Amino acid sequence: MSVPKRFRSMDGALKRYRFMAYTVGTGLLILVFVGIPIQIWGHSKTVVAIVGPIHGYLYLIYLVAALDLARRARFGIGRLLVMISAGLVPFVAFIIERKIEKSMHAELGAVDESAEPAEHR
Amino acid sequence: MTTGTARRSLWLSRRALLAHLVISAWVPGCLVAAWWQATIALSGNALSYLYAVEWPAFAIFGVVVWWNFLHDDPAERVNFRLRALDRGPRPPDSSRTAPPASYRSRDEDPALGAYNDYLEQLSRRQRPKTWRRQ
Repeated sequence: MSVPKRFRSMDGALKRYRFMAYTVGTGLLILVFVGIPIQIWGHSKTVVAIVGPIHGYLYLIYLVAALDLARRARFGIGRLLVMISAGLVPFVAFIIERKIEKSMHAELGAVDESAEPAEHR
Repeated sequence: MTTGTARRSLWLSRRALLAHLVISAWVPGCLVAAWWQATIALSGNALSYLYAVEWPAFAIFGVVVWWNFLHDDPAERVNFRLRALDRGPRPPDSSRTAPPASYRSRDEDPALGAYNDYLEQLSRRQRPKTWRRQ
């Protein structure tokens, strides 16, 4: 095979990105809607102290997964920036993950419909 | 390939300069945040040690994105697609790298096939995805 190994598949990159989007999205919801209210009104920092740093480092992994997918799928810088900022606003990570997944399936699906099977398989 | 003009447009085009501006604000910003967390950590907040390490990592991530953004060559991307399609012209230095007759072998694995289909689809729509304006 002469195609560079890193170009062989986007499937893995998309799966990794989606997994991290769900993880980071959930972590942020816990942090914002459980941890911070408890810190403010419950006067206990326990939840924030545990979830905060974990979420921070998971977000770092999310960034790497997003960059990896953006490079493989030839996304523009704009879409990468949207993916990056999606991890920072509650609920938005889920929405963007769905949009990315849908658009990639639409493009792959369109290929299937207009495929000329014998020519290049 | 790497003529003076090409290198100048790589580093000094409008988009490149904008990228330099953003990264030159981003990296010091991250380092200031790291320093701030480090001082808090030293004054007793153990949690801040973790954040003090995290901010430099954000700075490094920014540099990686900046570097990719600058070195994203649209012509190379188009060439990559054409080679993936095995329909377009060979790259100028094809004699050196000597690509095979077809990039799409009969026994390509499904994942590679799907990826080639995707690239083909992008190419067919005449809309090369790139981080640089052409």
